[in-house]
Amino acid sequence: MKQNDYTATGNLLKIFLRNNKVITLLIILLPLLFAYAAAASNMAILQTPDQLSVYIRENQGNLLLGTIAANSIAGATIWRIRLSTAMITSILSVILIINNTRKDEDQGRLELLRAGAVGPKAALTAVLIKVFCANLLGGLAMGLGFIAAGFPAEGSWVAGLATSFGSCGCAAMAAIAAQVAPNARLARGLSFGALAFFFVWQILANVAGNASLLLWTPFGWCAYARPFAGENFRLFAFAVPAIALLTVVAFRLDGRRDLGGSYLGERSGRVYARKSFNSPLALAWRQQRGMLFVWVAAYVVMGLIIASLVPKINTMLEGTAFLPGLSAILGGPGRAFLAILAYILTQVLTAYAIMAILRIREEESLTRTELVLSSAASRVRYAAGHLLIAFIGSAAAITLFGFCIGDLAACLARLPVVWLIASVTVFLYGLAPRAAAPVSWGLFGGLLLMEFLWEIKAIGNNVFAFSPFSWVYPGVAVSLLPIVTMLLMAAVLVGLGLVFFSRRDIIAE
Amino acid sequence: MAVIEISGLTKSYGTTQALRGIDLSVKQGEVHGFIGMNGAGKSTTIRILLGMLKKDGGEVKLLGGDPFKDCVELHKLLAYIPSEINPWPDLSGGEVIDLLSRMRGKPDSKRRAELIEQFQFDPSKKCRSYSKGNRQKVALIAALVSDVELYIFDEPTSGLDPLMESVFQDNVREMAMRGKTVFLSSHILSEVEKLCDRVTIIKEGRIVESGSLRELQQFSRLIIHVECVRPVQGLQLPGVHGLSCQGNMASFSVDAAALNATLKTLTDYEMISLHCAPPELEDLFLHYYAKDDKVQ
Repeated sequence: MKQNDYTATGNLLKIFLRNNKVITLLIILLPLLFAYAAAASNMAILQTPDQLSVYIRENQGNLLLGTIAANSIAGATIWRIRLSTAMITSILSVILIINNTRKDEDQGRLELLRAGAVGPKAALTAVLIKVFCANLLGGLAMGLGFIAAGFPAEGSWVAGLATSFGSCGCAAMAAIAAQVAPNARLARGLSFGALAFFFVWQILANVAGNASLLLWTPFGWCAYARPFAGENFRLFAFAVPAIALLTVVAFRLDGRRDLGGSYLGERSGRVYARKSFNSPLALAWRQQRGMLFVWVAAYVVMGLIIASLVPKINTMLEGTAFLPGLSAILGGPGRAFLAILAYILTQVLTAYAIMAILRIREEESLTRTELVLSSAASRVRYAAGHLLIAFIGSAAAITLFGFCIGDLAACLARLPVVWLIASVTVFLYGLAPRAAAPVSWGLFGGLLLMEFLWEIKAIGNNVFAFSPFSWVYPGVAVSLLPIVTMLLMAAVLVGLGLVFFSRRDIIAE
Repeated sequence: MAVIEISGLTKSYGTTQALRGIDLSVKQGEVHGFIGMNGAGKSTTIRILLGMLKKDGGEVKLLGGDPFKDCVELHKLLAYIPSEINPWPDLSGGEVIDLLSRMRGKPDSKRRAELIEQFQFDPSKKCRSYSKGNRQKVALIAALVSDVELYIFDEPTSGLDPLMESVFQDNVREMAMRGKTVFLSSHILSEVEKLCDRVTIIKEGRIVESGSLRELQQFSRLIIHVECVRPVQGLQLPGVHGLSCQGNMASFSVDAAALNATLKTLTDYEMISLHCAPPELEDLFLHYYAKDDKVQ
């Protein structure tokens, strides 16, 4: 009867394909877009061999992105996009996996499906097929993008496949997390924790300059495979069994537990609430503290790691021409490196602030806001609880990071950007709650895309100047005026958001 | 004194008109049933009373205040049970009960223990692991634990088993005895019939009838079951509706005004037994919903 374990996998696959269509499409299309856009812009900028060798020399010491292996435009291009592509497709893959495993299970949908003539292994099989295939298609699309740009075919396919195998590995890990964790939130948290670890490990591998360390982080697989630089096919001999092993572990864990069961237990709660648990702020803190602790801890850990690397970075970068322009302005390549990291981490922190604020909207659509407000809490007090945590929390994370790397001023000067973009979310939440999440994320994504296009010189300074990120870009002397302006704008947006919120309907759906 | 006083209330969502001018009055100390089909406007009315939604037009007074502007002060005087509750998955049931009752003020720990006992509820579990019925108990206990003037219940017993339903009904009766006002929206008509002094029926955003059950019954038909010696055939009288005959038995409803004439005619068939009853709430409800359909 073994074959019945997989009964109806095809039907489930059809259902799962209808879920999260946009994310699935992004996994396939973003690698193509990144590959082709980066290749085209590099070919436009690096027209002579001199320009190419200058570019490679300038970027060679990059600890975030690693070394440029191939002395060609193709090599410079895959170097530029391999990490960002792998990270984005991995994050999206984790979301897809958790949505169709633990989240479906939490919300009782899986039980409904399993009650039909469906094999016990069908659901996990179907979602893994969906995510693996989407990633492989994305990898092939990336290869096609390079080939379309005129890069060597072999290197193009290796680049695409190595990147997509990396995100398949992360997907298989998420499938394990979905078995282990008792709820979707923890499963997602564990998976993203693993991704953060792989990101840090990738930097460590670059700092150590040891290519074999790259094997142990899926984000390093593309670099390890050395596309366009004498491809290293040993990667696939490692990656395929590694993914297979993770998949088998996920199936074993799935097979040994009950539906709805998990390996990490759900702790039982308190019979009586603590004395202090009596206000909207206390409730907001209770809901937000987990995410806040994770973010602050991540920033402190990254700050400590980076701080410990600074002496090594300085000696490594000494004599090289790492970002010569920036190094000249900031007084040394080490400081330039820190400035760039502080800047990137500020951008990432914006995502935290948006998420923390959108939590209120999520509460509202789950009818929990109504429950709190009908218990004699005022609307402003209710919203202010969450906002305080989002704003002070983001300040705490970046302050502690700045303290760790010893450059508090540079980090604090960038905080107003986070607050400004977050305050747009607050404003939208008050004015048009249904649009708050899509418009906020669209705006944030649009600003990042704008910067990416500016970096590859597809748009000019005058366009990028509209993005608040350009006002605090590394090397820009951040003066008091833009800081005060941003803070004022943020204050006005938050104020308006709260006014609109206290006058509108509470919308639950 | 009227605890709830609504006149000409309108509310629309985009192009759909949810409330088309409703009038409603709930007096202090009464248990008032608010019945209607899904989508009739029950929850919209309640959410306007709670200050969650802004009215488009008309007048609404709740405990003498404006439900939107004075909501925080008013909410200290009322407790609310929503028809569906999604309590915070990371909190225990006990924590949710404590949080909601403390924010409202006047938590009563003795009453809390009593209710937890009555409803056989385990407050130590995380909310994510409660079944639907247990989640509803969280809302019930959190509302009933507060000693307030007005209780607003929106389909409070959805998901509860019959035993717990009757525990809830006992609690409502006890509140009524202590002079509390209860506004109970429901489509479990037997529950409303058992508990409520007065009933308001809402249909498609309009109030179709409001009054005590007895008043409602007076304006409507009586239900008659009769057995005769001779088969009842061709009973075509004005005011007789829905006649169904089975041999010598007949059932029909009759307008109160036509009762006398109908009984006179029935004596011709030589009655053996006669059962005459006022309509149950369910008959009334169906009657109002059917009547308006014909008008359309």
